[in-house]
Amino acid sequence: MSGDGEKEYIRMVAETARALWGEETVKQFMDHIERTAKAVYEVGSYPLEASVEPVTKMRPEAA
Amino acid sequence: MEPYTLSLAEAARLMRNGMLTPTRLTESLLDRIDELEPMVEAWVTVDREKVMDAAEEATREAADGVFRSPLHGIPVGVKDIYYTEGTLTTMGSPLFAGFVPDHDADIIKGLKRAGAIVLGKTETTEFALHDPAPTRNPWNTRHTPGGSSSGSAAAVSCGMAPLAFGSQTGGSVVRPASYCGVVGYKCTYDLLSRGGVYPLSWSLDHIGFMTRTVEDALITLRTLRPDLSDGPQTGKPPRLGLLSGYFKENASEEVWLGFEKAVGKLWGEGAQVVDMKLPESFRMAPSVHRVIMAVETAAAHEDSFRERADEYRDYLKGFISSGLLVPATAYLRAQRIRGQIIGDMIRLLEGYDCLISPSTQDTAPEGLHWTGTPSFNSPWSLMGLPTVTVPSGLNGEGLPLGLQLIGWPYGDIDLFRVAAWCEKVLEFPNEPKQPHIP
Repeated sequence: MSGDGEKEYIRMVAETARALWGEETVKQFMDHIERTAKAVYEVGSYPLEASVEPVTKMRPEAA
Repeated sequence: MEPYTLSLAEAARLMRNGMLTPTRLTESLLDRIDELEPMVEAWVTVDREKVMDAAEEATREAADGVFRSPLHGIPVGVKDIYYTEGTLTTMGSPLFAGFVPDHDADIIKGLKRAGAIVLGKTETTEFALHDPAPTRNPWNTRHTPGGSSSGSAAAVSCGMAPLAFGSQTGGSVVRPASYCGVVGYKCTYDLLSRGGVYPLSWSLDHIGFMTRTVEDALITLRTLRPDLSDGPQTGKPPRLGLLSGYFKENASEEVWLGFEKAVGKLWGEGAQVVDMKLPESFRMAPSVHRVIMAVETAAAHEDSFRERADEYRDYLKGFISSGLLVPATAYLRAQRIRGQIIGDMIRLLEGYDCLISPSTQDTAPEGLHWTGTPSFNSPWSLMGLPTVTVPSGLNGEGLPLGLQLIGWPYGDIDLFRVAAWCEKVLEFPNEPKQPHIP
């Protein structure tokens, strides 16, 4: 995973939040925005075959 | 002996023998609540009159020889996100400050059918996320009891109720149960109905409950799900898969040492303990959990958040905001990785009765401003696997440590059998804790 890519993604999400809710809200919730964006980036960087389907109804025994 | 000191099983046995009535037990618990509530703050609502009416009805039935189930006449605490007909249900939020549901949650219906008595509603963090409740840990009132099922754990710990229900999306049953030195159980996903329990994250929310003994927890599950059957019983000590890796790296030193000590006792009594290597996909569990939970929480609150965002407390407000920014493809990708993690972990379980780890990363943190981290529990909420925490010892400051057992999907009854074996070996005292005020 590229550290620069992650930073860039977080910056982009913060920019979107700023456009939606303004600077004050982004400042107040930056920790949450950053942590969730970081998780999204990590999830996005995990390699998956196209055939892997999402869990749409939790049935742990069937996974 | 005061009835509040009895375990659920002991109280049920005495009632069957005519040596205790539901009314007497309920009075004793209400007195205990009156005595300790100013120190512990575990309850949002206790309606004495309604509770005593239910207790007297249960007593009349018992006098006629009618025992609806092993929970007949047993008073139960319920987290304040469960709908209770005619009783205030606040979700720990000013948005629901005066909300009185017109129906019961499915679990409450089941408890009432079984003859149990709803003793009251217990404190929760706001909408079962992180913004804390006022509840204090009976083992040291300067410390958090954990959350989000804060009141339920504290109430069971100090003998205000022999059984209390909670819910878990990350670590909201197992963590507070461990911090408060009681048994905590989170079911296999959807084994117990979530109907009428206010959602935090639909695909991660689980029902759970706390008791002071494994036997009490097993009685409760068997009463609510009498259709569940046992797996084959060998009569031998269990085969346990010990999880180190992520858990050893993130546990505090005292937690890991306490865990090793507990494992040593289990091994000494004949358990087969095998060090397990976590699958590669497990490293994704925290991020996958975060993405799914942030999106589902944002979706669950989307309408009210649009109109009344100012009435939310800070943590939840920030968490919802962050979830609103997640692309749909990322949510689906998280759900795809989730399936892989579940499959990998079930393969890891093969050949073992259950996996074990410390129940929490640390003991109950000092202060009431946060409820500790769910990092040792949220992977199992993500995977929908059943978990039980059994108290396993105390740290140097006298705060409880817990052993977490992770079982097979729908193997909840078998997991309790292993938990009972561990409980017997670990010999943690299960009498109600008198609150320690430093």
